[in-house]
Amino acid sequence: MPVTKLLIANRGEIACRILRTCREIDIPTVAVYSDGDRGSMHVRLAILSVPIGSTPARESYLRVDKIIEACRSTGADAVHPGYGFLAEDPAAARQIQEAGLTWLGPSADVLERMDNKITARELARSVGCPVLPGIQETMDDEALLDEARKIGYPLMVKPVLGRDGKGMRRVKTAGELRRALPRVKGDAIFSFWDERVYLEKALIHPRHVEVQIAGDAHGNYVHFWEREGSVQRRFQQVCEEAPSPGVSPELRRTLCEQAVAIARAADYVGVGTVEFLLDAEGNHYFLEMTCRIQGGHAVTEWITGQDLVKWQIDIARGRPLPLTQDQIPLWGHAVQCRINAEDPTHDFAPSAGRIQYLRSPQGHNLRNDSGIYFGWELSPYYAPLLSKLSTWGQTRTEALQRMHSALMEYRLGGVRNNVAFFKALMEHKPFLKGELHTGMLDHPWWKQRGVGPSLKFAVAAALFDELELEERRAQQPSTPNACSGSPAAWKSVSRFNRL
Amino acid sequence: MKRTLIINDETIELEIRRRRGSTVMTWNGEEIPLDICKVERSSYSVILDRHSVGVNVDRIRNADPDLHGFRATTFDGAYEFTLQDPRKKLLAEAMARSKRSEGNVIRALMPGRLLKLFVAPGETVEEGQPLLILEAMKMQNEYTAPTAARVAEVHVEEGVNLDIHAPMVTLRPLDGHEPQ
Repeated sequence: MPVTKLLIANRGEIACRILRTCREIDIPTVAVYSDGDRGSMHVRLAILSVPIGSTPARESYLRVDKIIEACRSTGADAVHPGYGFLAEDPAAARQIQEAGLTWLGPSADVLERMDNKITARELARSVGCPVLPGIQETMDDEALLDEARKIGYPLMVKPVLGRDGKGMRRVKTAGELRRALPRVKGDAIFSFWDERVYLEKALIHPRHVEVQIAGDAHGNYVHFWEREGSVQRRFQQVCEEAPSPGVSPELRRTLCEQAVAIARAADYVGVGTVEFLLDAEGNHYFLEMTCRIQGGHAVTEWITGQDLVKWQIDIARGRPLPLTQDQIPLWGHAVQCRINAEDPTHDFAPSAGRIQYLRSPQGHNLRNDSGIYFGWELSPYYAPLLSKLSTWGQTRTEALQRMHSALMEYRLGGVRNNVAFFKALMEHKPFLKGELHTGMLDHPWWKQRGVGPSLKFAVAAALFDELELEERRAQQPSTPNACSGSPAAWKSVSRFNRL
Repeated sequence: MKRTLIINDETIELEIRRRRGSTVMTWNGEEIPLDICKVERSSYSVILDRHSVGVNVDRIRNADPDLHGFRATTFDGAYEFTLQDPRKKLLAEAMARSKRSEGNVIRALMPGRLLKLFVAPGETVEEGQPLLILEAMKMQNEYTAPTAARVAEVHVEEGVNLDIHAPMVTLRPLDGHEPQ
């Protein structure tokens, strides 16, 4: 299949990241944007940019018809869905392929098989990979509660067609399950147009480990070792690393072999991830397969030296995999933090606003996949991801130290963000020891710290200066320009509020 | 210029003086030499006892217009605090005092010009109802009735300049709040 001009059906940092690879290998790019994203970075980086509708994703980024129309009008012959939005949506993949366009991802048939978590579990079991005990038959709620008692609590309630951790709930008692069922079904209908749910035994403090794989149309498969994404909030990873500090060489071999076996059994063509849960005893269980490029792919790229988007393009073009398994190294250690506009001290509530100040960290063996710039207005309509900061080191310690130092340099103004939280994570003893589990952010062990005694003086001095400046600015005769852009001083604020 | 900063609950008298190339900050009477340089918009480089610290000062919206939200970001993380306008605090305290005590004469807390007068003798006012606006130190300060009262006397008119503690309005509280 040809990939001569690529349309990126996504936005933000992942769209920018894909655009950069396309620039490298001279593939002309097409960005699409909603009304609210006119000024976004991906629009600025692309060669062609096409508007596809209003700001809510359902009227723009999720509209396959508009994406196809944009391909027609620009001559793009391939579509990269990125992650989120249309990625992993079998119906979207089918429509794109039926329109004669190349879909940068597995075929609609494979997506259908893996999107349904029950058939995916069956497939994993058929190649000898353990799955957690669960209930997957459709039955009424009362029968489900009876069956749940047999497996025992805690349990996970998940939508059958779920992905990205959406709609999932953990329940500890029958009462909680009874209450959770209608909610999970409601969320599932809202997100996936399907109300089927299934139950799965929940592990206590499991680790989340996933193996990156790639397969071509000629039956070749390779893996790129594993990543650990146990640091999660709301079932979404915020910090990933590779390789996992909790995986022994033996377990690594088993996980990677089984991941490849699952991909092979699924006739998977493309780049994907097989996810596992590990319990405290070192047992592993198949969780699900993610059929797209993942948010954490940068750490895998660090330790293998590969560009996974380039692999996706090669595979979509029908070429054989560029490397064999023994040509894929495992070098050192990498860690990634997802810098989000959210408030870690208030249950990670998202924040919106204008980026009033931006200084990105710089230095050796550091990567910052960013989709923002100074002055950009963050829209509340989309995920509040600002950038993905990753560092590489020869050892885990070195990678974490480098991350810690990079976070100290990262300055973001105008929106609440989790930079300070990640800095606290890089100082958190269990994290440093590699003792990770998916519940480690359930109870906030970090909190907003007061400012230290000597820093207090520096902060006060800066504040003093800033106030003086604001007042001077406010005293100047206001011009129409100065009114709209500059932050209001005390005086004008109180005037505005009082009169 | 001296400033009173009320950071969260801590009140700080702060002054920064620049003299012949050196800068001294006075923090509640204690002198701290420092060097401060604005390097970018809302971004400062501060050198304190040879320690170089970058501080970013960033406003955050606050539901209460009298509280000014700030976020200071340093290498050690972000620190959020509210800054209270000292004049507003003074006013609020005086209002509370007059509510507690006999004070049925509303006096100017700062020298200034009477910008607006909302009441006339004989009118009844409710608790919290605006009485007048006094412009002082380039700020418009609204004086409100501490309790429900009848306006007994108005000592001023719009546009006049007032000294500190000048009587402006005399109120006679209603509902048996009559001072003994």
